[in-house]
Amino acid sequence: MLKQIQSMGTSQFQAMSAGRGPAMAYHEFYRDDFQPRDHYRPMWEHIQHTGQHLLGAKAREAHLALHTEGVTFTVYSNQDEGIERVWPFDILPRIITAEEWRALEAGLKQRIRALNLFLKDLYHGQRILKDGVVPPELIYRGKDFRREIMDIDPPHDIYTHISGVDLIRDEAGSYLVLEDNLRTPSGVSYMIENRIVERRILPEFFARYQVRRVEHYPALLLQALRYLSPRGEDEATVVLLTPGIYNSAYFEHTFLAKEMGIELAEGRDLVCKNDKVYLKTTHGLRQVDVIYRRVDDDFLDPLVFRPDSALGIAGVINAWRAGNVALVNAPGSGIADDKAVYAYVPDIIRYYLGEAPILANVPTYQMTDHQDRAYVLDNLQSMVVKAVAESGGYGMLMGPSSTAAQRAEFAKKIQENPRNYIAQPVVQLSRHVCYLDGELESRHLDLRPFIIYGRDIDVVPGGLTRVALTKGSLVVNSSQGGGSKDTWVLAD
Amino acid sequence: MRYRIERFGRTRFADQVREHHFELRIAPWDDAGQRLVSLDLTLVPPAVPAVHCDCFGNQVHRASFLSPHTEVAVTMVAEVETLLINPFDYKAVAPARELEWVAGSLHEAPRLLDFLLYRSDRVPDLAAVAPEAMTPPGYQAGQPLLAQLQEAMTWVQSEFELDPEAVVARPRLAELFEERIGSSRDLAHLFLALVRSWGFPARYVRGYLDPGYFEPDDEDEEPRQLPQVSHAWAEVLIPGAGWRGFDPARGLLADQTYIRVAVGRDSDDCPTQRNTFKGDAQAEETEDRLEVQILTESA
Amino acid sequence: MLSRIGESLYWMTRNLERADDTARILDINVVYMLESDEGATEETQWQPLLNIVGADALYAERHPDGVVSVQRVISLLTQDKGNPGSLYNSLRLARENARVVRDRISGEMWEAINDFWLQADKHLKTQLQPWRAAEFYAYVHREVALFFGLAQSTMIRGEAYGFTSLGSLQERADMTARILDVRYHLLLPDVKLVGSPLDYYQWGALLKSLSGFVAYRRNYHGGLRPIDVVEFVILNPDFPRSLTYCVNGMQGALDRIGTPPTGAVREAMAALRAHLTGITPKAILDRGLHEYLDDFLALLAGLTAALQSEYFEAHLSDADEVEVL
Repeated sequence: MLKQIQSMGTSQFQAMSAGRGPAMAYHEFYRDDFQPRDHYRPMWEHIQHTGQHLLGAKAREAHLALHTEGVTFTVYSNQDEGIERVWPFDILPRIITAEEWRALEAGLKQRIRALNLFLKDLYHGQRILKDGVVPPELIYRGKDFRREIMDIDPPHDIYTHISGVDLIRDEAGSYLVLEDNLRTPSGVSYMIENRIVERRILPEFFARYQVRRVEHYPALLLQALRYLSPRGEDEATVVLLTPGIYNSAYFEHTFLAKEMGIELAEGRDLVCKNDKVYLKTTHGLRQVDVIYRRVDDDFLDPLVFRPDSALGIAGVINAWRAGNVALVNAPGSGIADDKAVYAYVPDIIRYYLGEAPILANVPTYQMTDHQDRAYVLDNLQSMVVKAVAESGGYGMLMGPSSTAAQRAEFAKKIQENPRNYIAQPVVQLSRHVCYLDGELESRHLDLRPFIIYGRDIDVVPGGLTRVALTKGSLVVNSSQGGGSKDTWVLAD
Repeated sequence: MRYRIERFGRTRFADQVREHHFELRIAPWDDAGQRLVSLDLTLVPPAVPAVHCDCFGNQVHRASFLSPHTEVAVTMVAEVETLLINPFDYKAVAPARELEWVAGSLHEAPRLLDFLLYRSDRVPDLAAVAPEAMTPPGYQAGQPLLAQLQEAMTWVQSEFELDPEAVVARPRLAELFEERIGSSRDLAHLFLALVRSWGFPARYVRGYLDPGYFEPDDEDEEPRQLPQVSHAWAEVLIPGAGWRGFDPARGLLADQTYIRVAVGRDSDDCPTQRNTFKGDAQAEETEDRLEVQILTESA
Repeated sequence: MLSRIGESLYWMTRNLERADDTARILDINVVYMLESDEGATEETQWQPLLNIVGADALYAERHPDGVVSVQRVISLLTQDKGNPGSLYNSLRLARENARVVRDRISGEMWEAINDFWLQADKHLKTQLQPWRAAEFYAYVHREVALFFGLAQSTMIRGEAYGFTSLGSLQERADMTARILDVRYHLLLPDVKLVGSPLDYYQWGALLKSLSGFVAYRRNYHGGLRPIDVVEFVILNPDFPRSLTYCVNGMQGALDRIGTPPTGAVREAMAALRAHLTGITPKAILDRGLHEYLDDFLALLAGLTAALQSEYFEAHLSDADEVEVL
């Protein structure tokens, strides 16, 4: 392998030396013979033609553009209170062919449709539990199962209006679902900003491809939100409920509110009266029909959930129950993206739709299963252990890079509370070429497409590609130092 | 039995509060075991409360006062007819098949799992909080459940003392083991922890008692009239019968002298009142008066 | 717009104007201190400032010995964190409110007020010495002027602009009335002295604290007569710091925001306008300038309360019908 790399000599493209990675990981950009895959060839040729050094100027331009636009996110770690960082963006796009996308799109739609039926069932007749497809104890011990909302009918029976499904490619290049995100997933604003910046700095790349657009996401979302209005689409007042400026995703909240032309409100700007929700404006109370809420269930209504929450709206669940307001995503959706429930999703698809799942899961071990648990505890070093209700990459053990002390700690946690953990074998996420510090290097990445469920189920062509910027790392979350790429889905 | 219940509650704040929303769980249940004949709820400041049923089946009355105020008062007058004259009157399931029956019920109605699986500080894992010296009775498979539950109540009464005037549940049941005296709520929680550890669904109940309970007991040296307060007990899913009430505070099965008002996994699920408001004031004074009168005895 | 946003826009500029006017009166006193005759004590020069901003009681608390010195007054009014009306606190509140409404003001406006705050905060960490004070107040004037200039040139003339104008004009009217009230009575303790020749420096200080000295002299050629000063400061519709100019401006701002046809705000504004129309300077003086200005300040306070109930807290009503917008 090494000899082959050295013999490539004349090419300006010396990326391979920077780390092809373990032979196992699928490489998005390169074939096994180190030639670019067909759909990357035009881009590769362009880079070779203009010169790698030009990329440096482009990268700086991109950083400046993001800085000027104020595209930031907040990183929290143990020591810091929270620092605002410019969004870390890699200028080389990730390209998905039309054919690949067709399969993904079908799989995602199928998955979301099934998960929605699952939620409706869990909070009503619970047939799937009675039929023994999903263990009832799993649900009733689930942290995010919200019994308080049992029997409430959301508008059009939709629970997961907005979802982000995290996809990876295994060593053979097959797409697998890593995780579902049904609790107001974030990242959409970055997906759009990535595209805006990419267009600005690398128009010459776009010239060589037909890339499907993503900037219309806010319009698509607004349409889906208005569809839910109890007073009808024409009359709909939609607001975005934000926890406020100290929330790590605040940039996205302001971005989306602005792009959709809707009011950005905090809990204290809203008040319930006679089971309706109103916005406190300088010209009196204005009734609200749809709330796109970026506040967790726990903090949404102090009358029903946490009484100490100052971020929510007292009485909003009663207004929702009365059918006077739509909540997006519906409270209680979190049980369906619980990592322990994830393992049952293929069965859930089969149960409600009578179809074979188009997208497969990553193999998952349930810690509540005696055999699974024993196996995992014996093999922690090659496992990824996840706490079921966490997100953002926290509460996770990366077996291969962990210390003995960390593994011992997790073993203890698993034994004390097995319902709280699942484990998966380490899958080598696929790799791609990035332009980092003047060099072309390979890094692991994943893909989070966004799915909107309104009158129809729409998958935005593309999504957020998240890159683990640290060499060899498989952790892609921005809150832990990940970056991203613009994601292109090619038109036919 | 037919009862008339009058309940008055007032909350006074030291300073003005606003955007005050509250939910009340004070009305008696209306179901096969007891019939709610009439209900009248009056609020001051005047408001017409809305009603809904929560996920446990409790009737919830709610209202909001948005403008600044310092006081809220609620008066309830209700008439209820209790029908469970004989709680022992049902077709029992053979003891050997009781667990199977429960498993079947859970299978038919997974919602019941909440009453089996839920653990909290108020209803914790009994093994984790019971002191080593104490041995709570274990479940004997093959023996009738009803009898074992009665023995369990006897055990509670022997180890713990009831404070009849206490109306608050301890936030942590572990404390009860240290002090050995508690309210009816604490004893109900203890009983729930025990029954759940046996593998049976059991739920917390808050309600009203026949006024006779508060009357002075002539046998006492110093008979005293106790003020009427709401009471707490437990209900267990009895094979062949359904929910049956067990009052560990008095060692009795709940019959027609018990009026169910609210149920939950523990007392936190069904507080008398739940409210939020804006303003700095703490609730200064709360007044709570209850009067249950017998209208007609059962035939 | 959201009540909370309207309220923050209003208080952002009220606080900024307050900071500017506080700097203004301190500034003039510092300069005046250098120009005046040696006979005037520190107390007679600096006590009036405490009266104008209503900080006498707080000063007495801070300094039980009762001695009034320039350093003490400057510290209390400029940087004392325990003084809610100090320049420091006004700036802090202005910037906090600006942060709440960051999406409504231009990027340049936000950067201007944010940088201003960070600098001022740093500067005021140490005690401001009297001989450095003038420099600092000049800095404050420049930064505030920059902010308002940016507001004027970058904000769309809509509801947001309405609230920002309203806030600054109301505060300006408030401060002007206070300055006139206190200064005037120092200068004319005896009503019989109305019309007599007066100390050039004292009147100069009053007009300079309103940035109106030059404009006054251009408009009034009879010298510094109290009756003319009263007319200029209260009734002149073209002098940007006069009460009449401010109230007219406030009406314009409210028209931009949109007021309901009946209600507390409309009444409060009608009362303010009535107070300033159909009255002559002589009549004001005959009635008693202090009473007149006191009434004016009460009417302004009434407007603040009306704004609260009509725009910022309109939701606090339990009426069954909810306004349909």
